[in-house]
Amino acid sequence: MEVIITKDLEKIYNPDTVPVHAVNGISTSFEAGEFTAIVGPSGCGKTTFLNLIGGLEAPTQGDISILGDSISTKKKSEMTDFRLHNIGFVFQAYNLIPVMSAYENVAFIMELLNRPQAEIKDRVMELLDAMGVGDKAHQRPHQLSGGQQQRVAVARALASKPKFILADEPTANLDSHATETLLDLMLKMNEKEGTTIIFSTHDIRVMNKARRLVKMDDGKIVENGKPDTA
Amino acid sequence: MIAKLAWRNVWRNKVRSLVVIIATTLGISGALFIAALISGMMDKWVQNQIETELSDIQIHQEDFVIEEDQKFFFEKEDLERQLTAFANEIKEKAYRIKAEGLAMSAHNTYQVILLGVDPDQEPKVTNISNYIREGAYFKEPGRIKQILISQKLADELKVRMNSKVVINLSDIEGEIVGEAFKVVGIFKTSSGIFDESHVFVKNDEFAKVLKMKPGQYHELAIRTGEEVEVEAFQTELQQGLDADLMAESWIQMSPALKMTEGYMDTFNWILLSVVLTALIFGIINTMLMVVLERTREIGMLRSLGLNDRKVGLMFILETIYLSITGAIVGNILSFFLINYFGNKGIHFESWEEGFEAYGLQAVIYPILELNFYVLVTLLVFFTGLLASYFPVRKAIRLDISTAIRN
Ligand SMILES: Nc1ncnc2c1ncn2[C@@H]1O[C@H](COP(=O)(O)OP(=O)(O)OP(=O)(O)O)[C@@H](O)[C@H]1O
Ligand SMILES: [Mg+2]
Repeated sequence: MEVIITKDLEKIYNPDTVPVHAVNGISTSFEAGEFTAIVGPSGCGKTTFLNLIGGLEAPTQGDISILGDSISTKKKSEMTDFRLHNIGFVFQAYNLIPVMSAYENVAFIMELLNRPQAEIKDRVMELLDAMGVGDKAHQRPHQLSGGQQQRVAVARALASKPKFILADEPTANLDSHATETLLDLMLKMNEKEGTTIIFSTHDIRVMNKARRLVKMDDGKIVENGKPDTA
Repeated sequence: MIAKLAWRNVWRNKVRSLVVIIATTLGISGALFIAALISGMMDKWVQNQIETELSDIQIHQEDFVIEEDQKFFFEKEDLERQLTAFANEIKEKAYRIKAEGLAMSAHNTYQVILLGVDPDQEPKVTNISNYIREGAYFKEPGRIKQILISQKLADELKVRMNSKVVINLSDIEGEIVGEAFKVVGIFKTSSGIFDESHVFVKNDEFAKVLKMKPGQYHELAIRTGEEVEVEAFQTELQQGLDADLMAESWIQMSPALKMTEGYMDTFNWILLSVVLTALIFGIINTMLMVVLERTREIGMLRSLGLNDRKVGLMFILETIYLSITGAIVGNILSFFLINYFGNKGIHFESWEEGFEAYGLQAVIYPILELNFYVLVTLLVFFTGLLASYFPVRKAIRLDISTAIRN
């Protein structure tokens, strides 16, 4: 089943002054349960593409449909609610709310969704344990290492059982060991929970963990396939 | 949850928040304390005038009120009959004879108001007898008529105890009479204005000077019981009196007193508005800085699905917490300060003369009604709410993608 379909997707920044074709006609789709890396040189449009399918910015042209629903026509408030229910986000850094513990950060999304406390407690601890940070549940983000913070962020992204997770360079600030751990855990959760995960990266080792590789250049997809063949 | 987040956010930058909170505390407690000082001063001032001069309610001949001519007196017997119905409300009363005249010594002449009082009855209504500095509040009757004058007037007239003062005035028939009085007591109240213009004589002696018969008076001063609402009682009393008699409460006799109280109220509110205005700008400034610093985080929260309402609520609460915390501390601080000094009094010794010239006492007991604290807290709450408008607007208008790329 296709979770995301994009059709002739275009994003032009500053159309009136110095136009930048950040995304320049992308038509592709993502299946349920995929573990996909989006790669390409700096400035090729990875972040822009992820932001578009996450509904964080609006496309200049083209269409995005998620679970059969076109999101281009959604209002701002509808889109916010849609993200809350369907999409998990992991960013490169500053993912966590600094004044809340790891536990509270993960519980936050579920509380926004008004889930019962008992369910929240079980789910949050299950995810933190699965991500190997169960013992850090009551630490604040600044008391965690970069890798641990990213693992908490992934746990949070998974908390509401979203249809897919978008992770923009989640490993960019991590050393190779932490990068490997995070990727392995993400892959594990992808298999265990069946969540579609799409992430962008510069890192060759990270790309090799992906099940599908989408190579971009200049706002376009230039290669699309298995990592070994790509 | 949003409330918890907002509260913790207040303490993220402890120094900055503390500066705002301390400034608010000082501003609010300062304003409250000054308000308490002013109302303590006003209460005392009003109380003083009631106790030394006005009493709660006075009754006169209607024409006396208008023309202040000594020929408009009433008969005590008549009035007493009318007052029997009000025995419960009237705690004490004193009859007076009142006229304007000139007080003359060998050195000087002064225009004064002469009050002919009953030395036994008058001290139950007013407290001039407590302010005698030299001599006594009248003596046994002697060959020469007795007068009490103030220290201030004694200085102006250059007279001392036992000196003679000649009073010139017109009697009830309109004839000018002159009469010598012996100074038997010298008083000094807290009001320079009062002291300079009032002298006291015995009403039986004064009646003879004015050619009034026993039982004829110009003025009845009444102190009501504690529980009596003076203005309501005045209305009731007036209805029970003959048409030619007029009952006036202290508020009616001295509208300036009431008005000054009103001015001081206005002044308190102005002071408070100044503090709140300073507060609102300080808070807006701080919160705009907060939004700017947390751009990325706001972007992150909104990506996750925190809607405008919740983002708004978060900043509204944070702004209100920031302002109300200082207000609550300020309230508590000023409550204790006001109570402490309210019991002990604040002594403005070095300004004593200035105070007394305006009829104020140099010891002030600050006092503040409990409502005022509640009202101020509510005002700060709404100030916080108002101040949150700009930061909230800024946070909601942030473009998510720009914020997270930052
Ligand atoms: N707000 C913006 N206004 C104008 N141009 C922008 C804006 N955001 C991005 N761009 C441009 O769009 C292009 C694509 O940017 P994008 O951030 O998507 O690239 P990226 O592949 O994520 O790069 P990186 O690997 O460095 O993160 C770049 O040329 C960038 O300069
Ligand atoms: Mg990028």
